[in-house]
Amino acid sequence: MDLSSRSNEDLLELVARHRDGEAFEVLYRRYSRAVYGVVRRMLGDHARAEDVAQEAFTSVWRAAAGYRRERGPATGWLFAIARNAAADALRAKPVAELGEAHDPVDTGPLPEEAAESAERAFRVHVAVDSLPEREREVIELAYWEGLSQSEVAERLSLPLGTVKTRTRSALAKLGERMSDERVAG
Amino acid sequence: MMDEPDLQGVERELRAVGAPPTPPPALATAARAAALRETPEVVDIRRRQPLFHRLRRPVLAAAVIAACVIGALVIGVNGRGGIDTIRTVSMTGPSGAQGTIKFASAQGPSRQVALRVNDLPPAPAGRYYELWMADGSAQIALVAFNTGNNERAQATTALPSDVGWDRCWVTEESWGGGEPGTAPTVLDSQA
Repeated sequence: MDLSSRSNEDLLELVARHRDGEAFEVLYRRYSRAVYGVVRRMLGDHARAEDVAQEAFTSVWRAAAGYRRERGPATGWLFAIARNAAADALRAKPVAELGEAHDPVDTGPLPEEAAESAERAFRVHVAVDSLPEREREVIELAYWEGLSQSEVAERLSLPLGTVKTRTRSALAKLGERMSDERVAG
Repeated sequence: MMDEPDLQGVERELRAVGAPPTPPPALATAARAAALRETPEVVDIRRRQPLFHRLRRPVLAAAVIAACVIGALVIGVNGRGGIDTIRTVSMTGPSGAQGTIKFASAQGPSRQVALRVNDLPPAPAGRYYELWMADGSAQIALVAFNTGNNERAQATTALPSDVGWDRCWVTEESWGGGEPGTAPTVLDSQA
């Protein structure tokens, strides 16, 4: 069964009810960059980020049954999993190990700005990763690698008109998806 | 289809957040292994959701597709509701669906393109139709649309003047995206 076209909500239900490893893999492919990005943003610690991201995905597997469609899109639930994993890691970090980036000895809630920044990035990254490959690559080259549209066309061996068409189509989809995905705590 | 200021907002967001970090290659294996060692928590999944929640996703998709089609119409339709046609391409589908695409003469950087489709059932929930053109080896997605209950649709959009067309076809795409080249073709000028 090809699960790649199934919704996130369906995949979570498959994980919850059938412990479906393939559904989990699809979710991992869709969200790994965004989840890892949230953890990196909040921890600022490369070494621990991998462990915490792993813990976040373990939580997805363990707690998939706790997701409720009526409470909102799966994306919000997944963001909360990633954010909470990072927050737990920060709270558990011994004071003596705190680096300069995390000098505040604060075991309470994370600063609101950090959470907002992480949520904003998560929403954008998830939306980009949901684009068809042909559109995602032009967006990444243009906006994250700083290439002009002519340079993107040259890099991908595409007509400039095609790059422009794909870019506009992708931006329209991103706008819709980013506004749809209300990431809840 | 979004208007220009909204697209600029998306561009700002993209630039502001930057690229996500690439997860270490070992994370996938580690996450899978760690997850499979875990036991599930309480399993309590409703088999059926209330009507509103079951309809939310298809309604959302339909709204966006409608917005795309309306956007295309706003871009392309002239005051008389027609275009100055220089060439008409016909498409047919395996289930008897038919389509025509009219290309207008170039006006500056673009030319108008009018699509009309008949006898094509509305796309299933979570899916929509997309018109494609091939210009040499490049494939261009030109407009997203859906048919109504009368199995008809028409949309007008714009094609850059410097882009040609060797072949036109319509695919049935998944709303969530999918692997390139895997969407079924429902209309084709070469059928």
